[in-house]
Amino acid sequence: MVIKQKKKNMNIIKAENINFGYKKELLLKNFNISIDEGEIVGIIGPNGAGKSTILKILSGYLKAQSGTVRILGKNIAHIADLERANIIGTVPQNIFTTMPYTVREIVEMGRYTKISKFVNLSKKDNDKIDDVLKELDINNLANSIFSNLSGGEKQRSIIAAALAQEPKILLLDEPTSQLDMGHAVSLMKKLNYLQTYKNISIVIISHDIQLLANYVNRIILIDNGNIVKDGSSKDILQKKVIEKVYKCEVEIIKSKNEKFIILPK
Amino acid sequence: MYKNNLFIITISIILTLFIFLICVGIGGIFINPFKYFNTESNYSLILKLRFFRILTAFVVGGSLAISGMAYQAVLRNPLADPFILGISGGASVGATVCIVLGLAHIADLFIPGFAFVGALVVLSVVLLLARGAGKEYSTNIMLSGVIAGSICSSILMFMISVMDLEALHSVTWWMLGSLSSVNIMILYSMIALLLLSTVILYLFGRDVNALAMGEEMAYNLGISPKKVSLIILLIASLLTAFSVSMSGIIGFVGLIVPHIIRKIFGVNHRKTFIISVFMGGAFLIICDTFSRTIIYPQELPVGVITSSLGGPFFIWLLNRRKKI
Repeated sequence: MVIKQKKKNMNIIKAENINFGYKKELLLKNFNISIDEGEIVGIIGPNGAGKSTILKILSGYLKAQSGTVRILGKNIAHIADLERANIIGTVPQNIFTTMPYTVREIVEMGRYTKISKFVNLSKKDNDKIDDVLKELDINNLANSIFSNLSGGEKQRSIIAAALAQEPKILLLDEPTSQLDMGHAVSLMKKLNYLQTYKNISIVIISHDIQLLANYVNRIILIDNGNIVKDGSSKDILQKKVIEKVYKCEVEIIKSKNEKFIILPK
Repeated sequence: MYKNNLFIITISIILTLFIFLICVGIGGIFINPFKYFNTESNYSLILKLRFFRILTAFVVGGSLAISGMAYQAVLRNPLADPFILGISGGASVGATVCIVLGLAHIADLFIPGFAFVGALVVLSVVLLLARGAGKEYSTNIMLSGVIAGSICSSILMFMISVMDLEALHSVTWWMLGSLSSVNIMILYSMIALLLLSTVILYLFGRDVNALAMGEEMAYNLGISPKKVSLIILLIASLLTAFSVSMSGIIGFVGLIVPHIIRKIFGVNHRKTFIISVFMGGAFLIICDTFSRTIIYPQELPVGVITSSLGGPFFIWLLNRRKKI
């Protein structure tokens, strides 16, 4: 596996002094995070640590009580909705719909950012849709009803829609939580490819620490709305750090080909 | 299933025109459609009366169906329709207040105006009561709609029990849902309104598609969920208010027709909004023709026909949802 390290980097996302709480109590206090251009970053942490909240703040969906999020140097609150959607593609958790959309119709939605209200999808749009359907191995499900699919198939459809958006930044909230091993690995490889060859910046939340450790070049460990540790897989995957945050004993092994294996005891 | 939108829309226009022409001929006196334009016949007055009535049925049916389609998508609940959400109830309280206060005679558009205010009050109450996220929101919407609807009907009952006999008669008949008394001014403004709303909803079709996937998904696709759903809900409520002030509460058109359309044509709202105008219109024309003829020379309120078709359908729909 090749992870290209880039030298000359600029912050494509920079969040400063974020204070945020769903109720009176603040979940994030003076929270800072920055993501470099062309970087793939994993966010890990126990349930309720604030991972999804952070991602929603970075995408602008949640407005922080104070602090700013800058995308390419511009305050996200001042970026028009459509312009923002052409820069950031997001894969949220738990998408459900009561309408009988087909998978293809859902992936089509990713192209809404590219076309005006007055025109239909062009051939280029349809080709792109065909491509992402193939890339995520759901082309045989294109005409199936989304809500009848399995969790993993739904997840892949939503990811496909975000990829059809052709964004510069991809924010993924537990995209592999319901994927089988094969599809999870193939998604991580796809993300690596996008990062390396298309210079797309990627932030990915996952509970699969082992998967992240082997496919991303930076991991941020979050607990109680704070960054506990931020660094390479090697820095984060320390027995003491993981055990303290997750409150369970683990064994961390490095395989012959430099891959991490994490075993709970 | 059906790829070519233009083809489907053309077919539904032709089919609707066909139903329109046939139903103009049906009634106490049957008129052969081929003799409509025969100048020597004595039927021109009958035809003219029936024409306006059927045009009203089309406009009301189309408005109810397209607004039902919009409510179901934006509020993310397949059981939503103007009737169940209490929006029709609010509109009829507004219209009744207008009649009781004796303001109805001042200007033609006073009743629809009051009805719209009533609909807006109910809509804002329902939206305020139903805060929450995801599936919870979709359930809360229905609950608060039912509550708002029952409050409206108790207000109506109160007004009915204290009003004088003359007002009582007109209000009762109007509430049962009738297409017989057509105010031409309201009819024309409603045709314009329906045309304009259909164009706007068509243009927002993709946004509605995304909204039906949830606020977060819509936001991520570059749509402002709050702003767009407000626009859509306002248009739907305006259409509901006008329909109610023209013909009283006609239930189930806004519920059944969108479901049938989605079953046959899929969910792309750019397409289904337009089809729902024609299918909703055609459906109400047929129901109204039944209501005019079943116990001729007397007339059944059209709401009786739509509800007796809609009730069993609703039960079937509920059962089907349980199985999934």
